[in-house]
Order: sequence, then structure tokens, then C-alpha cells
Amino acid sequence: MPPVGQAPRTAIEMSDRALVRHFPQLESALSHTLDRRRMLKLLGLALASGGVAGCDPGTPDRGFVSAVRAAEGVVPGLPNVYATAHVRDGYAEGILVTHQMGRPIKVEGNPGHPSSLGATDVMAQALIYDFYDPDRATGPLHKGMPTSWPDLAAAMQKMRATAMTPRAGSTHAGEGLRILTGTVTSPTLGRTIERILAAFPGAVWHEWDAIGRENVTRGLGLAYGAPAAVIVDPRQADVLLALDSDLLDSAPGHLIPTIVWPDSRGTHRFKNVIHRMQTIL
Amino acid sequence: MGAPFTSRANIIMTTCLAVIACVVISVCLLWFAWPYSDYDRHVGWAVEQPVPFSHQHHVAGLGLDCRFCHSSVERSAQASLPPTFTCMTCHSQIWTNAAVLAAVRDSLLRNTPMTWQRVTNVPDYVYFNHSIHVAKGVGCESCHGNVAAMPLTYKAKTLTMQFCVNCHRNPGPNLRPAENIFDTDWHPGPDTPGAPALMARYHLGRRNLTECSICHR
Repeated sequence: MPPVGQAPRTAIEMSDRALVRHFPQLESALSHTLDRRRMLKLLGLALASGGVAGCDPGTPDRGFVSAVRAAEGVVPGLPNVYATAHVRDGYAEGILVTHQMGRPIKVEGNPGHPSSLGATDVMAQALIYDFYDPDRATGPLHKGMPTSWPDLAAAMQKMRATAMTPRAGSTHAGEGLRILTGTVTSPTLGRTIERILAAFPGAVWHEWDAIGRENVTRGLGLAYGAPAAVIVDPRQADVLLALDSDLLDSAPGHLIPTIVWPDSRGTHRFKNVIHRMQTIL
Repeated sequence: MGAPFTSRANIIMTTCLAVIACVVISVCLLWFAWPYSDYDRHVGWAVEQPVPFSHQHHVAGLGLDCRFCHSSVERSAQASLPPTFTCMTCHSQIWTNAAVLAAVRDSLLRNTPMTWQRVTNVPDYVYFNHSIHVAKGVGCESCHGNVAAMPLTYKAKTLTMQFCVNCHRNPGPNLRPAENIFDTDWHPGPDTPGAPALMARYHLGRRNLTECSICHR
């Protein structure tokens, strides 16, 4: 785990200046209020534009685009399936993606993957929208503009010399180098980042998720005395008590507990105990 | 005050009414018949392509099989167009400096795909599947005409719904033995099995082929 900075935990604790610095768009958003009349106008406009879209004569036939080299195993018109993984908050679940000549059309669970057993959740199903999201990253950006991987490598090679030289008044190389990632559970990526941190002792690695699970990680650390991940087997339980947890619904890695939980119905040790789950939020 | 109309007025009036009726009827007929015309269906029009590819030269002259380039026709709904690499199998050895092939060489060199214009089209609401037609004994020629006689490729048949349904109502006369499916100029000979025999061989006639959902899914 990278160190967690001493930043204010909530927006309420921040001073006005800190707020403006963290959320540059906040001031203009708050000053531009959306009253009822204006909102109805915008809604009407949206409705009218929907009608205009119906006047579109349709996509013109732009002809056949034939490949330069045929992709191996791809037959035009026949769907292909490939196995990959969907990672959410560091929990990977195996999925099978059906595609037509490289364009994904369906996501399903991978029956051969231990964290899926053929099941998916809503987030994995919604991936199909993510694939076609116009905002989806397709490559590296430099100051908001697309750039190429070789350019990125060249720029990082150039920065390497600067980063290797310790700054004035410091003994650590790599000060000023920050790495920002989501939760990383990939052993390869983790190892690579650790090698970077070893080469640049002054560098800092920040892990951040929109809905983070650092409290879960800390709690497990307190309970077991070392960083740990729990693999839940609810078949062993007669009663599940979930405190602020969506174990069987939407928590990362919830698929397997959800699948196996009904298996233990009617098999609990005490016949008078009703097999049930209590959730306190 | 004299008579307001001369004696010719009746004739003029009748003629005008007859002409108007004729115009209205012909416009209606034309409006109805126009989509069926070869002109509107672009039958026999050579379409401009990035390379003036000649089926006549490649099929009649060199004897290439349809499936050499349209490789997925037996497996997939789409017959598919060949990748640039297929063209360059030969054209990296012969006609290497031909000006007409510059677009093909550029495509391979710059790794940019070639865009061919559609010659034979069906509307988007028609789900045509090449593989099932080939598997059930319909020759390429039945819809695409004799491409071996086309220096530039053009549409040979109207491909109206009438054209499709005519065959779906009675497929027998348009079937051919499996070994002749890719022949470009084939005529039934004395040894050719008759329509009922071919229907039986391809297991046709069990399902009503004019069901809407066969083509409109």
C-alpha cells in the first residue's frame, strides 16, 4: 500500500481556497443555477432535436473496407469469442467477449474462470457500452492531445536523466515523480511499479479509486495483523451478518459468494436456525 | 350577346380531359413501375472501383476459383472481399510496376485498407446469407451473372424482392449439382439430375421458403 496523504477527508473540512483549487469548475457550476423555466426550455429543445434526428436519411453506403492482411481466425460475418478479464477495484472476473471482426457485441461470464463460473454482474454487462464510449482512452495523451507510444517512451527517456539526479537539498533520486493508479492487483504491474520505486527512492505511488476499499483493507490488516484479502465461503455460515457491505449484491468479487450461498440452504447444522442474511447499512 | 362557347368548345374540353386522365394514369404507372426498371436498379452499370479489377481476366483468363478471393462464401453470411495481401500474392511477382495497381501496392505499403464500392446490394432489412445458398446448390451465377464475361464488374440481376421470391417459391430450376456451383457459365446438360432430384438431394421442400422471417428477421 502506498502511504495515504494527510489531505482533508471531506470537502466540508476544506477552506474556500482549497475547494477552488481542488474543484476548479465548482464556482461556475454553483453560480449558474438552473431554474425551472430554463430546464423546461432545455427539455423541449432535447425533445425537438429528437424529431430532427429522425430526418437523417441514414448512413450512406461507404463500401467494403477489406483488410490489408487477414486477421488470423477471423472470418468476416462470423462472430469470434475471446477470454479476458474485467477488473473492478482490483478484483478480476473472467469474461468471454463475443466480437464481430474486432467489434465487441456481447459480454458473458467465463465458465472456466474460478471467479466467474459463467456468471457476470451488471458492471461487466455494461462494459459493452464502455467499449464504444467516445471518451474511452485509446492511447496516451499529452496535455490533452493524443500522442503515440513511441513519443511517450522518448519523452520518458528524456525525463529519466532529470529524475535520476537528486534535487538540491535532497539525497533521494526521483523526487517529484508521482505515479497515480487505481487499485493494482496485477502481479506484473505491481512488480514493475516496485522496481521503479526501488530505482527512484524519492518517487511516490498513489492508489486511488472513486469508491475506495481502503477501510476494508485496513480492517483486514487490523484483524489479521498483515495485509490480507478474504475469500468468503458463505456455505460455512448459518447466518450472514453484513455490516455496510454488499457482499451478495455488488461488492467487488461478490459473484462466487452469490453463486454458492443458495447451495447451503437447508443444510445448516442447527435445524431451528433459519438460513438467512442480515444486512445493516 | 352571342353564345359564350363556340361549337369547338366541346371537342377542346373532351381532349383536355382525356389528356389529363392519360397524364395522371401514366404518372401513376411510371411511379409504380419505376423501381422495377433496370435503370433504377442500376442493372448493367459498371461501378467505379479504386482498381479497375477485371473478373474476365482473372476468372476466364487465369481460371481462378471464386473462393480464392471470396474465401468465406461457404462458411459465412458474407462472401467477403480479399485482403490486399491476397492480391499481392501474385502482384508482388507480376505486373509489379503497372500503374493501375498503384492503389494495391500503396495499401500494403502504408497498411491502409482498400475501399471497394458495392456492386450487388440488398436493403439493410434483408438478411442474405451466402453460405446457405451455396450449401443448397444455388450457383454464384444465379444472382451475380456470368462474371467471367465482365471486364468491369456490374450488377447482373435486379435483386428485387420479386427476383428473390420467384426462386424461393420454386427453387428447383435454379439448383445445380455441387460440383458446378462455382461455374460461371453453366447450363444443364443431358446428365444433369432434374429439378425434383436436386430438390431431394439438397433436402429442400420441407420448409416453406417464402416465410417472411426467412429473409426479414
